[in-house]
Amino acid sequence: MNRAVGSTLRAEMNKLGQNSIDLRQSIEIVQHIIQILQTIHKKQVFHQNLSPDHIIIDRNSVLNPSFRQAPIVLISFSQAQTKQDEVSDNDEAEQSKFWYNARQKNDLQYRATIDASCVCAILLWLMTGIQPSANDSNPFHEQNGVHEKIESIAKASSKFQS
Amino acid sequence: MYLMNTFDRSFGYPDYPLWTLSDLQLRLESIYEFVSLSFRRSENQSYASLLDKILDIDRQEAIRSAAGRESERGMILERAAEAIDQAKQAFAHHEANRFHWSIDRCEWVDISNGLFNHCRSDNILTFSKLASKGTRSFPIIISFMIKISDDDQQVSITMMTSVNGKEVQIPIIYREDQKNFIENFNEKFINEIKLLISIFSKEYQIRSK
Repeated sequence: MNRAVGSTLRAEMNKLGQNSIDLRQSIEIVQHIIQILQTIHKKQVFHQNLSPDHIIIDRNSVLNPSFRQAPIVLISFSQAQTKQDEVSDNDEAEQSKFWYNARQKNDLQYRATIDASCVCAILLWLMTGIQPSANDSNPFHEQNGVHEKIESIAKASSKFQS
Repeated sequence: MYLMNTFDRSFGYPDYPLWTLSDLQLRLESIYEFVSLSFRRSENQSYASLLDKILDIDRQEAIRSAAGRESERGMILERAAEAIDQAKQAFAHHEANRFHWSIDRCEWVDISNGLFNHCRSDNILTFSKLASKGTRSFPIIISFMIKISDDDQQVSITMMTSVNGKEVQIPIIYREDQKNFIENFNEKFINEIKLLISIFSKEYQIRSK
């Protein structure tokens, strides 16, 4: 098995500085991740634990690569599940294994949607630099400070193009 | 607005319907287009010109190619589409042409993330009646769903509509052998669509009282 080339998405963002990429670049990254997920979902495998540490991006492979072009590899499938696997226990020890705990994680029929929710958590992290909170009584995007940041980024994106 | 709504569906279970990867991909593409220059340029185009290219697409051909033209699944989809088209026309003719389908050809949209074993085709069935002040019409959105078993041996086809926030689903055929699922299809279709319309009508009238 070959080692994935590049650095984690977290390391890459630390190197660049959190606010150095705009909304379009954030979307380019997650769109690329979605394409990879669609391939593994076709094989009925669901990652279930996407995080900035489980995404390897190689921006050195092409000259001045856009995020669309940079190769991405997903790693760490230790929490991956198939369609037939049973739902895991929801205790604290189990929760701590996940960067983002999707609210629907205990509902078997929505297993396939957990990766999509994780992708959005990564998008939100790319946009704001804010980690998903362990306390999920309030949805991630409605937590203190997050909503305001989203609004200001949305406004900034519109102004940029006008 | 787009972003908050996107995140509502991502993190708002159970209050919001969850994203599938395909739907999320489309939403993110929309946002990307919106904030990109290409969308700004297209603002000066007419809506018609934006859609011109769609008319040139042979959708069925695209599905056949994607599903595998010669594959069992591709051929099942094609036979199912033809059977539904013929049944639609038989029904309209049966009802003295008081019903009209908005789309003649059944065109499948894959909803199984590229597997083509679960597809959907939407249509509008319009009922018309000649009244003293002119023709009165009532449209009903009807969707056809096809489900093909993993081994491509069994086919189920369902029709569905929504009324008063409720979904009405009526099976036309259920787990029929793929070799002969179109036998007597017209008859089955006509029987089931009458049931669908009957349920729709009763439910609609309940709400209107």
